[in-house]
Amino acid sequence: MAAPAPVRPPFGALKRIKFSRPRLAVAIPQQRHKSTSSRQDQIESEVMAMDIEELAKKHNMKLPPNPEAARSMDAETESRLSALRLPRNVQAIYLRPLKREAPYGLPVCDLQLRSFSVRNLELFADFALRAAYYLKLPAKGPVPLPRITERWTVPRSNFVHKKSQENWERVTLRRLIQIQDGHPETVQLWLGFLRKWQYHGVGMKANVFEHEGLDVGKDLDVKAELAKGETADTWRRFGSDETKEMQDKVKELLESEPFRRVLASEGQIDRPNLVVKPDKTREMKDEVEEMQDQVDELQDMVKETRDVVKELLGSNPSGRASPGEEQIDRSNVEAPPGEKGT
Amino acid sequence: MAPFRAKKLDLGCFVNVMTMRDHTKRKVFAENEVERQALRYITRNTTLPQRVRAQAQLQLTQMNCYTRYTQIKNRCVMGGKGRGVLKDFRMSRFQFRINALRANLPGVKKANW
Repeated sequence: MAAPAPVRPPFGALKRIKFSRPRLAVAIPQQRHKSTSSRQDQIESEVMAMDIEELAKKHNMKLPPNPEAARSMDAETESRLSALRLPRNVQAIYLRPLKREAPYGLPVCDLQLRSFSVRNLELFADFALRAAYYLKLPAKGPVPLPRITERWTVPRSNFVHKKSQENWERVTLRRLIQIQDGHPETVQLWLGFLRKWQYHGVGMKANVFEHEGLDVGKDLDVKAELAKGETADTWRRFGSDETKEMQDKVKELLESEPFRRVLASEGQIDRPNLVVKPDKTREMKDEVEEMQDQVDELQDMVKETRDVVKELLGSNPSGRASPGEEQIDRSNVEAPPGEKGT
Repeated sequence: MAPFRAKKLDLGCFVNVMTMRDHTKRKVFAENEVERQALRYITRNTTLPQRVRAQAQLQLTQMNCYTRYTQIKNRCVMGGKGRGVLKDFRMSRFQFRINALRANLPGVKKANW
């Protein structure tokens, strides 16, 4: 029994399953020493040597029905059967996903898939495209976007030894699937379907674009009216750090004890630096005016005396009438007693 | 820390005195954030009277230090270390390396280029 006989499983229906020659060293009973007087060993050895049907006949055993025999058919039927094709939707799985044509090319949804590994990413992108085809959504893709590489350099040791470090990286692969000219509800359906059957290790994010007709004005007015109540507050604070909570808190604080006292006392306190006394300036102005008047008077008097002196000296008899003289003649100004002496 | 410390430990990561304190600080900050923001707003609003602004600043200084954002420190989740912590993994460098070698971090591999 050096050469191993074809391995035949000893019992019943196991025979129907076709085994391939086992590669590993299987303990084949043939190799054992023939042990005497063991019924089981006897049967086993018989089984190894003979065919099952013959054995059954020998021991008057009833065999279960042979499925192979039931399935056996004539050559013609068999050939026709093998020539039969799969249903189209099953056949489609073995082929690349079909795509619908977009009449206008207007993007409606951008689905981005991200993963660390290629296989499940590609599989899910494929799945998404097939789903889009069956929903009659024109899909473009999967477009491979640039990989995102994050790197870290970390010392190998837990303490000191900064000079020996190790580089680590994490590469994120991306695919983009764009839906063009799709009905928004259908797109939502598609996204929901993908979320329901989402694949492990693949992250998804979608940007959905909605479009309005040209007579948007009427709709907007209606929408604005509706939105005023609910979202007006949020829109007012859009982009700033001041949330509604915070502003309410500010109000609350300013009405609370220490602040109320401070605000109340605000009105009562004088601010000496800032107060201007208008009375004094008026006084000063008056004084200045008086002084100016006095100066003018003195000037006039000086001119008078000069003219008088000139007359007395008789410098110009025909000549010009000095303006001072004329003034003297016409006006009734009295010269002060002190001046006349000089 | 005494008035803010939780009666029952509610920490998910590595338990350490420092980690407990940091966790407490985060909780206290979250509770008082709105009040702190409001006081800061009052302090910085130039249209309000000076005394009110000063009062707000005073009140701000009197608040417990655990309410301050700057007291919070990202600590290693595995070892409680305060230095060399990578934000992406919430672990310090050596812990990151250990876990990366054991393939506990999805997508992280030795870089080679």
